[in-house]
Amino acid sequence: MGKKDNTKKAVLHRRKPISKFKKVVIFLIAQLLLAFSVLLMLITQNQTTYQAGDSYYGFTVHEDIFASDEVFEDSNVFDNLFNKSMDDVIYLSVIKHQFEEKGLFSGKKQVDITNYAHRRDMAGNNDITAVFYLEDLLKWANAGVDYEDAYVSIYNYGVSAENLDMNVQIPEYAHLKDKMGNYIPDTWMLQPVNYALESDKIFDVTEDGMGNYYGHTNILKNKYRTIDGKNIDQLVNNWADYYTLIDDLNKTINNVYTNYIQYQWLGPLYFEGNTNVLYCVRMTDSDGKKVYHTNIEDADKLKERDLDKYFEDNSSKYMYYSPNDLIVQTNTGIRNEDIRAILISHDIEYAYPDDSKIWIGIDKNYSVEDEYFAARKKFNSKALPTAACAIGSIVCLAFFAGLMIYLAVKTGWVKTEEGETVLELNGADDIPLEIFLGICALLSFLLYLIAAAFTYDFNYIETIMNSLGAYTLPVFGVCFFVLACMLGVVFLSLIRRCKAGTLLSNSLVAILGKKVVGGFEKASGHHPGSLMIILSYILFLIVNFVAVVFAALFMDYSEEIVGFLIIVLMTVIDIAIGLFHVKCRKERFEIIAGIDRIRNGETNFKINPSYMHGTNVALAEAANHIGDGIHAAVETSMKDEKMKADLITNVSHDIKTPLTSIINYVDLLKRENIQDEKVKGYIKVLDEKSQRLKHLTVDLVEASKISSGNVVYEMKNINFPELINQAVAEFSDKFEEKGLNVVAELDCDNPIVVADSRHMWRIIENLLNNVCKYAMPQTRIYINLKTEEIAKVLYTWVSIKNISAQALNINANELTERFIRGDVSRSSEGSGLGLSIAKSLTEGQNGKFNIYLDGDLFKVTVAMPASKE
Amino acid sequence: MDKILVCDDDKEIVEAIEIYLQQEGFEIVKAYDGMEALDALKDNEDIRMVILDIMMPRLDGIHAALKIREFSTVPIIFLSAKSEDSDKVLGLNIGADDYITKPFSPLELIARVKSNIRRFTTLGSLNVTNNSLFSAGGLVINDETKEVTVDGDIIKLTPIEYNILLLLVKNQGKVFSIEQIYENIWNEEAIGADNTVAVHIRHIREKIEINPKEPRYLKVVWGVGYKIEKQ
Repeated sequence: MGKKDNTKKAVLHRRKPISKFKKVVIFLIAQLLLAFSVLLMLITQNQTTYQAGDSYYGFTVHEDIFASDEVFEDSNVFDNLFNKSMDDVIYLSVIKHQFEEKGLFSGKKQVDITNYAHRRDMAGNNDITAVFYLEDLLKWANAGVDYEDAYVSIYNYGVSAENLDMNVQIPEYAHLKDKMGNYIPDTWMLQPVNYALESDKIFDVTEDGMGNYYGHTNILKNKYRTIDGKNIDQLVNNWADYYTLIDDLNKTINNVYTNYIQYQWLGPLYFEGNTNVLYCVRMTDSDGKKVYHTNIEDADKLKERDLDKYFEDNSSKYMYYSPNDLIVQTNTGIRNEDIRAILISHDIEYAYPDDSKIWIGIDKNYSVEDEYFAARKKFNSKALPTAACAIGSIVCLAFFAGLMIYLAVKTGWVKTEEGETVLELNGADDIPLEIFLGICALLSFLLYLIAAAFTYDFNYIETIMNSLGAYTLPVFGVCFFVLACMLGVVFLSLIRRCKAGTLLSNSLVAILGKKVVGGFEKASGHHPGSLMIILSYILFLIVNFVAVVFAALFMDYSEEIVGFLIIVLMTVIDIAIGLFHVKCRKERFEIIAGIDRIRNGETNFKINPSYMHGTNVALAEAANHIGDGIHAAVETSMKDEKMKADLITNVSHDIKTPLTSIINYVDLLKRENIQDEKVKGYIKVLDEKSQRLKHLTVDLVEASKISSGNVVYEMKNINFPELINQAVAEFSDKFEEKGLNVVAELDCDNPIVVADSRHMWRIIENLLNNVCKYAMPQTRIYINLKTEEIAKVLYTWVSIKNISAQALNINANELTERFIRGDVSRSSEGSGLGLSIAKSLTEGQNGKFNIYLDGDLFKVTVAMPASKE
Repeated sequence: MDKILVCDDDKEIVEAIEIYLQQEGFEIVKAYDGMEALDALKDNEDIRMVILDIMMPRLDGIHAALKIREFSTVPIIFLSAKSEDSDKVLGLNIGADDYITKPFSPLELIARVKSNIRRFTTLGSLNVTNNSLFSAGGLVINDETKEVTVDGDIIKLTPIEYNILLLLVKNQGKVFSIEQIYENIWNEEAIGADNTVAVHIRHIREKIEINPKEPRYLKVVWGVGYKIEKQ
């Protein structure tokens, strides 16, 4: 519980906004710290970096940041420089031994190329060798070693390399080459048959397809001759020796040339007066004579012990070494293995047969302004303690990181005027991600350029430094600060995007993707089913397209049958799909027809979905279900109505039996000779009311039967005026009784109507009964017939008008409702069902029944469809 | 003294009928369901008439009537609360002679009982040999004596009424429109629609029919005309 609260509190705390001003200040401080950190880093870098060598063969030496050496000679910078010097001096001595005679360069030195090339492995063939002047070799190297193509005809297939000279005589090869010009076949016709010369790949052998073999090889272009004035090919007897010698010559030329370049560079570098390095290398030449390579005057005249002493006295650091007895004498940290590695790398075994010794030392006065001098000066003049700079840089960086994390947590949250904390994005956050990241990348690149300028390319920084002078660091700091601010803004914007969840959604890809998907959805009417159709249609198009492409490709590769088959296959598939769609459409129309039938009342009609496809099955089943529902509803409603009618019928039957007894016994009472007028009056009331009850039950049953549709109509042509005449005749007595005079106008155009005669009689009877009951006595009853067309159907209608005995304070429509009667008190006889039954029966025979009230005038019209005959 | 079997599950109705028929001089045998009615009919072979309710316990009126018809031709009148046409048709078809719906008029009941007994006892053996004698069921017209009897009772008719009835009886089953009757009787063309004939016919019905609203002989074909049902 408590833990949960804490978590919640932490979240709230995290979202607690800080003011914009505070944010900006913290942000600027953070960026300043970063710039400062970087500056310190650069200072550290600068102070620990030393340059050695000149501007072309220069290299840098790095001092350990946390090194605590107080003297230059103890630092690793000095060690590195000393190592390098030692390496140079040994190398230089070797070269000098190769090139110099009595301390000077001698171009006439003779070089045995086989010995030279194999000076390390000693595998040279001493039988065949060539001796060149050194200067010729160097010139050849300058001019370049070139070859030319040569073709030879091989007549005996399968000969070995040694036997080839039987056919190809070396002195004649130029001559042969000319001859062979006629035999050179088109190269594309030659099949390689390299197995012809398995042991020695001197020739690339080809066959022209007709049993002729040709060999191809490279021949050296002779530029310089040996000291005897001979070319290589004149020294050998066969191709194998020729190429071995050429190979050795090549190696020698390359090696000599490389050494010569080093000689030219290293020589001046270690001249006396050009360097603080003191060296002396003693070695023995092939004649057993001791030779000294040194930059110390008269070193060759000193004894070995004096030399040792000289180095110990004049050097701050020194080393001497004798390869023969493996003794190292030094006051540096250099070990025996280090020196041996250097010696081996410079062919020391070849150059120093025995009795050689190496002395190296650094002038303790640093009298020459060389790299040692510069490094020592820099080492002794540090502006800031390096370690402090490095630590300061890291601390600043850490603070920067902390502040940025704090800002990242706080960014975006602002307090609204209502005091709520909400996430607010600014304009920069609305820029699509890709563009934003592009800007970010650009800024980063600029930052990288600046950083690279200061950290990696030392020459570049010197150029800048030279142009800016003392302002270098401040200018760089400001540039970096501005860029860092921009990147910081970008970083915080990215954080805000993450918080708002718009990091990915607000990108060009997402926006474009949404547009595409939206387009699809719009096209599909936002319905997944439609989308499926669109996608499957696209798939269909793709399949077709791919098939066409494949067919075209096959056609192109003269595989017409395959292409044709693909087209036929696709045509068949397309036709099948087309047929499938036609079938689906057909099914759809069947379903529509089925729904129509259900709608038109055939509620138990069933669509057969068993042979249908896809959504049509669901559609057909749904239509069937709706049909079932309607069917059930109609059934229920019919059943309900039937039950109601049955109920009324049964109840009325049950009423009728006791009613029979009541009527009978009232009648019996009437027959008793009762004198009491009062009792007679009671019996009369009983008689009337029981009679009325009888009528009521009959009418009730009838009304319920009609409204529940349990009436059968036998429609036929009947003569309307005749019927009215008959009916009026039936009522003549009653009319006379009440003094009602009937005025009947029964002439009309279409006297024959379509109706059920017995129900028609019931309608007229009810209406006339009504007239008898409610018409004012001693008035006229008007009965008229008329033919009229209503809504394109010809109707013959009768109207019966009478004057009501009582005021009709009732709505005309209400009169036809069941149990409504003209007199609201219901004191008079009648069931109140007469007009209702008449209306129901009229409408049941497609007629129209209307009542009009106009003051005391009561008018009923019954319109029946006229017979068409 | 004719014996009449009255069968109804409502004892009060049976008693009321007994009172009416005893006043008319009939002897009454009472039964309260179909089984009792059958037993009573077997016990009393001189019963001349059966009045039978339809809805009764144990054995209903329809089945009772069917059983009675297996051994007897005694007239049967159904007396039922079932007033549908289909009920009446069913009742008459299975062998009943008449059908009265509840609640009934005592006078109508007595008239129908008498009419049926008369036909069963006296008119059943009537020989119609006279050419001037016309009959339709219980309705007999003697054109020589100009005498009209219904189930033996003499009916008094005006000359026009007599002529109309004679026309209809002579052409039993044929429907005559008002115009046709007018032209036949008055021997002149009918001018316009008139209900004179219809009124005469209503009068005839009131005289020859027990219940003019449910005529046995002179039937109204609404909207067409009138006819005597062929018996």
